[in-house]
Amino acid sequence: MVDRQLELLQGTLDLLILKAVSLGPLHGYGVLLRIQQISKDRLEIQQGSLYPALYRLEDQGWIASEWGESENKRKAKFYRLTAEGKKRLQSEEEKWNRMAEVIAGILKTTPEEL
Amino acid sequence: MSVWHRVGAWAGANLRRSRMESEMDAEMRFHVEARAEDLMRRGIASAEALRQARVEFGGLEQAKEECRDARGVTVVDNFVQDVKFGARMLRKNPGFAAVAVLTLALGIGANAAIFTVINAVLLRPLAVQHPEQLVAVGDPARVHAWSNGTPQTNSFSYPLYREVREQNEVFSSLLATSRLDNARIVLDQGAEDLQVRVVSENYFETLGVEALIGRTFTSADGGAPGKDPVAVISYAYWKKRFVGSAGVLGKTVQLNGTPMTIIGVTGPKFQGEVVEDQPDLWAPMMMEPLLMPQKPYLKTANISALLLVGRLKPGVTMQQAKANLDGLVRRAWTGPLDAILSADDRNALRNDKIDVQVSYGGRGLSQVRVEFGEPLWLLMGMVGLVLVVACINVANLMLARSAARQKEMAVRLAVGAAAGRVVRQLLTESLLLAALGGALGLLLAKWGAVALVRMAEAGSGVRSRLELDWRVLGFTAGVCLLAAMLFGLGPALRFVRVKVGAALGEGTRYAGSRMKVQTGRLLLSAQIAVGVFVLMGAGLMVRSLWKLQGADLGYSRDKLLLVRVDLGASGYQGEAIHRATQELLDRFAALPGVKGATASTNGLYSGSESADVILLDGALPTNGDKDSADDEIGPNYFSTIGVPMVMGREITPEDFSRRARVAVVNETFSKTYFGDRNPLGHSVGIQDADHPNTPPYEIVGVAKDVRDRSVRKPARRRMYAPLNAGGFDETGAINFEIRTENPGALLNLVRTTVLGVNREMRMDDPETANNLVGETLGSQVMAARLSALFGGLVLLLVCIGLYGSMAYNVAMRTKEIGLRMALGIPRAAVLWMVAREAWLVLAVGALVGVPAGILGSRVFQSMLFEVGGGDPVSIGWAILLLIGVCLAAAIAPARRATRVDPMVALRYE
Repeated sequence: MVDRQLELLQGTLDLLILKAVSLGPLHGYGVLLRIQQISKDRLEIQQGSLYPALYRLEDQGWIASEWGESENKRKAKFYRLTAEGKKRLQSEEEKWNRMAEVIAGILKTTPEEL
Repeated sequence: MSVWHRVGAWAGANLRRSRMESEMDAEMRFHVEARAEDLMRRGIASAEALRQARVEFGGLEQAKEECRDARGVTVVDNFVQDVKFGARMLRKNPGFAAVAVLTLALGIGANAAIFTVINAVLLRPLAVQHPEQLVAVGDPARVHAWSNGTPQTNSFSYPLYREVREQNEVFSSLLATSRLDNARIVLDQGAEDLQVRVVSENYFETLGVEALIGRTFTSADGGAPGKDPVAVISYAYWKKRFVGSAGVLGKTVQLNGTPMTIIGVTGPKFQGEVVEDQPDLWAPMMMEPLLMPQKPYLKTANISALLLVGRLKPGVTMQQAKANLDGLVRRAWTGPLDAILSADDRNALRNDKIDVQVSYGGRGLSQVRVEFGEPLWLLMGMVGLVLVVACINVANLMLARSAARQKEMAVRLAVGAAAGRVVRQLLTESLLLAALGGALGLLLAKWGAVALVRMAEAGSGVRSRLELDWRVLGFTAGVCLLAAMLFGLGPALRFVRVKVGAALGEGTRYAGSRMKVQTGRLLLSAQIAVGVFVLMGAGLMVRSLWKLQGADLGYSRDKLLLVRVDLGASGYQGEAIHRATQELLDRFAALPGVKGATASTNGLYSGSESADVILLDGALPTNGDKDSADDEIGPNYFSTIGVPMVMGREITPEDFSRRARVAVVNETFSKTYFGDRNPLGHSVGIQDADHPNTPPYEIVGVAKDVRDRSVRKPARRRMYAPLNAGGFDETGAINFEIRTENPGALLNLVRTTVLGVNREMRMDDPETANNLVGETLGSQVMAARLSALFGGLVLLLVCIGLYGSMAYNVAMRTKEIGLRMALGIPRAAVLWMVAREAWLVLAVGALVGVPAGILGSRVFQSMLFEVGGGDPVSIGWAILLLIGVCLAAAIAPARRATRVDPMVALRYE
């Protein structure tokens, strides 16, 4: 475990949620666990901010929800990716990768290259 | 959308919202509990685990709020919440709420009342099919007009109507309508007067109006004159006289002596095409010769008594219709109608420019609209200003309250409420106040509009057309919204600028009070300025009315009694009319207190008028003014009504008894045709096709001009000839003028005298000349009274506003005043310190208001009579009244200030 968690960049929570539910339906708490698991706990996520993001994504039709049973036999609301959400995830992914590439390129620049 | 759909949608939305709330709750609880379980698995005690899970989750309510935001249901939610909260705030301050709501109710109610009348008279379309396709042909204000003489196109003759109806290319259908004067029906229960319109047989078809029971007229009812004695009655009359029984169909009634069979009843909404009328019965035009035997108009082109309403063919514009009609009328005169024109009419028409008036007809025909249109808009403007004054009062109240609420708002802002949300909350409170005021105002309006129409004597039709329809409701809602913005937005925005720390730290008393006083003063000055404006307008209207009522009309109208007896309609003809006239004159003269009685055909303010082409010394006038108004009069006409002779003599009983062919002309006549020459001894004749060989009259006198039609309009040139000399068209309706010491007491005696000659005599109610003149000023009276009323309302509102504000200031400055008095400042100085405020506000208000009033009066210049916008009397009164109101408002607070006990004041707080 690292000492310090990274603060989430503005606007990236939506992308992470979409990615998390693309691997299989999850309830809200499950989304949190999945992100922490994949990120190896290196990201700091405000738990309370998760739900407004879920509601917003659902309102936009990228994820859908239904009530089901959790692993410990309790009623929980599960979210899954919709077809539209899949497309959205792809385009967001590409955008993110391009952006990361560009930023990385800029940061690698040395004075000689100018 | 039906009501049930709406209720369903609303309930559905509510259900969804409450389900979302419970789901959100369950979901987040699950999250926290699942997290707590995980923590417990790591060995943390259950209570501590739950606590930690909650801390990690963060603000639960904030998350929920953000979720609601994400869902977009919050607008409604917040609104409902705001309304509930606002209602609670108002309940906590019932005094404030009551004053604000009442003030707004007065302002909004007055606006809604005037608008209800405007809607009924000026805006609402007729209850017919596709009113937007209808056009009025002729002058739509001449609803009761009757012109006998040269053919007209401001109203049409029947032959001209037929010609236009058959030949036009622009209408799919064209109807004609006219009024049946002095209609009288005989039913099983007895006889009564009623409102009858005589209409072309395609009337109902053109309007698209169907019968509720039975049928309306068909083309079969327009075959030949007098052949189809059928009638359609209105819904209201059916309910009133036939208790809504279907047995009315096929029933035969006597209408002006002619048996008519009732064949149908119209629906409840239909009230005919004339806004101010409420017809009881419609008769086919082909029956006219039987219903009005004295005035049969089917065959002559000289009686123009019809107004036309056409339904435009698809795609035809009003301009095209007018062009088509102008051409048609011109061709009709030279072609098909030429044969029934007299030589002089032919002559006259050849040189006349044909200009048929075509206007939008969907809102119906109306004389009242022309008469009351402008006064109504003026009053609308005035009540708009009354509302502004009312809003300023409420704004001041809210400002005063804002000091008390500053802490509350500061707390709300401090705990993180968005500024926008706080403004919205305050605006919702304003809206709530406005809505309550509006609801109460609508009640006021419903009552006020009826009172207004009754006062204006605008006709029963207008009264029954008053309705709180969607236009009125929409207008009122708009006014409420506007008012809420006007008095709510300023105070609301002020709150947001409050510095949280300062407001919480300080005592509430002084937070921002400096600014409040400034804003308050500005509002009060604005209020006074608007008040001056309204009062000046009211003053001008009232002064105009007084001048109109007192205007010298050329005759003496005090102690003069008038009665119109329709001898023709009562069955008299030819010589019998003259004999009955003489008998009535003799009987009137014998009544107690009567100094003299005379008669005339057109009379004073009777509504009827005639004019003819004249011949001077056997030739047409050379100066181009071919026609002159005329009147036939009884003996001693001028001395009886009090008109001095300028030259020569009047027509005497001797002239009368020997049927002398003598005439009197008025000054304008003399000036027009004779200039400075002496007209006495010259001859004047009438060129009339119906009486081709009547000898001319010798001019024996010149009388002073009489304004006998309108107080505003100058007298027309006029010639007077004896009633019994012959040569004019006779309608058989005679106006009697009776000079008496006590006209009021004689009204009933005159009526019984007329009925004493013949029990079946048809007459209008006897009236004093002053009353009759007053009636022609109906719209002026209405405008003057209402503007005076609104002026009073403004004074009251200004008084309340000023009092509230000053009382509040004195309360705020108790400590300061106490201190000053403890330091030995005299009472008078304290008094001045407090009153200065009122004078300052008054002076600023008057300085702005008076010039605005002078400028503003130009808008209604045409309604003023012999007073200008800068009328010093009106300005003086407006300012005096406001000074009085300021004094009244300032006295109590100022006295309270001088009674402040320094010790008490200093201990205060």
